[in-house]
Formats: sequence, structure tokens, C-alpha cells
Amino acid sequence: MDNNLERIWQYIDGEMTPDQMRRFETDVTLDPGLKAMFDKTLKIHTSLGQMPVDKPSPDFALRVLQNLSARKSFDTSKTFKGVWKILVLFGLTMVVLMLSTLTGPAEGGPGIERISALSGDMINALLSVQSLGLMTLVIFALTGFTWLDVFLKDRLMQKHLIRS
Amino acid sequence: METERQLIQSILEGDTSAFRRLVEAHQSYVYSVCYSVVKNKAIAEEAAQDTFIKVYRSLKKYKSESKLTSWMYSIAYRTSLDYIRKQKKTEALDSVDYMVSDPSMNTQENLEADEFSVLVKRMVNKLPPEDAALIRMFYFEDMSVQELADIAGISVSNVKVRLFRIRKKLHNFFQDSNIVLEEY
Repeated sequence: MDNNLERIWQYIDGEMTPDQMRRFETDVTLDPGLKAMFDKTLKIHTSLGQMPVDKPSPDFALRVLQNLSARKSFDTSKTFKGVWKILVLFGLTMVVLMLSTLTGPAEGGPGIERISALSGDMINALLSVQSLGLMTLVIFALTGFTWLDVFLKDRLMQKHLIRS
Repeated sequence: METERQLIQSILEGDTSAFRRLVEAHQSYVYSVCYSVVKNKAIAEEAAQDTFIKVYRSLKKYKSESKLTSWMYSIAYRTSLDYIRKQKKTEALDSVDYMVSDPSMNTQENLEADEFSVLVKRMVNKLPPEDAALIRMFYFEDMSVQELADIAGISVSNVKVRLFRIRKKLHNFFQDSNIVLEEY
């Protein structure tokens, strides 16, 4: 049955070679079972093509525009830009802290010397065996940061849409 | 008459009425794709709205290599899948047996041709989300298998296999439920 059904759909979809088509048409005229199956399949195919399209509510387009306009004003809002800046600073601080932890205590003690030594250590760390672990941590930090960004954006967006 | 390219250009220049025209021209098909995936009117509207907002925002990135409709349907398809993943409201059914037990289907009556299409549509909406969207899109504007593969992010052969399975399910349903087809 599967084989016949497959052939029928191939015929309907126009995926047969002229030879296969001729053979199939002959088979349909000779085999009443195949003919019945073909008729039924053709009706299903026609009905699928005539399926009514679903319609959204009449004010759908208007609501899309309102939604867009609300989101536009949100995107340019200073609040969100401020949050972004804080998050960027926070993320960078975290990365620097992680790097300093991985490279161990810098020679030269605390203060400016430690920071300058840190940049040298960072290059060494990137070239060392530790680099893989370091990169993994950085990727985790960035992924977490991106997630936090999306999460906060969603929350703020919802509040903004409710207000607007 | 305004071409698709002109319409896109107008939208990119900030013409909101052009965007409204785009929404009005495609809302039914986009909504249909969303509805076949999420199977809920309110959620489908929400997903369709999100789709159009994504379309507006990424219109700059749209390349005319693919049809605008295919590009929009792929956004609608993915957005809707995200919705059901988030809400975990997938009540998709993998078996057409359920369709047979649906009391709203009057299987022994000779239905009018229009009613038969409605019945087929109802059955399609009972298919699993990905399958329902795939078969609906296939019959929209005679979409090609290649376009479907691009939209769903699967191979052409995979699309063909899935289409065959879906249509076989529909065929079996009519076979098993003794719906009288001769009158159509």
C-alpha cells in the first residue's frame, strides 16, 4: 500500500519521469483498487490546496503598529541605555577579576604595579596551558552576561508595554 | 503598482504606512503559520505580532535571494516554535486515531466540498506543530520543497519524507473513519 501511495503522491507532485507517468497511468486504468486510492488521494490533495486561510482579528495590523511604536520608544529610552552601561561595566569588572584570580598574585605588590603586571600576566595566561580554562570562563561570563541582558530587557520591555 | 522592492525601500525609509501595507498583505498567511504551530488563537496573534516586529527590525538584513514571503514564514515558524517551547503548551498529537474519536467530526455524513476542506483543515491543525506548519506552508502559494527546507532548517529529502508521512496520516484517517468521499 505504501508503495502505491508513494507513487500516487509522486505523480500528483509531478516528480515522475515521463516513462514512470505513462506506466502509472496504465496501472491506474487496469487496477480498480489503485484507481480508488488515486481518486481519494487526489481529493485530499485538492482539499489541502483549498484549506481556508486563518484570519487574525480585524485590528491586527493596527495593534502591530502600536506595539512597534511602543517598542521603538522603549529602545530609545534613557533608562535602558543606563542599565546597559552599568551591565557592561559590571561584566568587564568580572572578567578582569577572573583574569587576576587565574594568573595568581602579581609580583610587585598591590596598587598600580599590580595592574601593570596584570596586563603582562594576561598575555602570558593566554599563551599558557591555562588559556583553555581561561577562555572557558570568559565564554561563561559572556554567556551569562548576554542572558542577563535578554532577561532584563524582557522585564523592562513588559513594564514599558504595560505602562504605554 | 508598488513592487515588493519599492515597499521594502519605503519601510526602510521610515514610512509606517508602507509597513502597515506589508502587514495587511501578509497577516493571514503569517497568522496561519503561527496558528498551525501554537494551536491557540490568542497565542498565535501574539506570535504573529512578534513576527512582524522582527520583520520590521531585520528588514535591513533581508536579502532578495529568497522570497520575502518565505523569509517572513521562516521568522513566523521559528517565533511560534519559541512560543511553544517557552509555554510548554504543546498538545500536539502524533496519531490520527485521536482525530477519529473527535466528536465534532460527523464522519458518516456526506459533507459539502467546503465542509470537507474545513474538515481537512481541522485535521491538519491536530497534527504535531512542525508537521502542521509544514503541510500548510506547502500548500500556500505552491511553495517548493526547497523553500520549505530553508524555512524549517532541514534537508530537502527530510521535507519530502515528512510530507509523505503527514499525507499518509491524512489518507489513513479517511480510510479508517469511512468518510464518504464519493460525493465531493
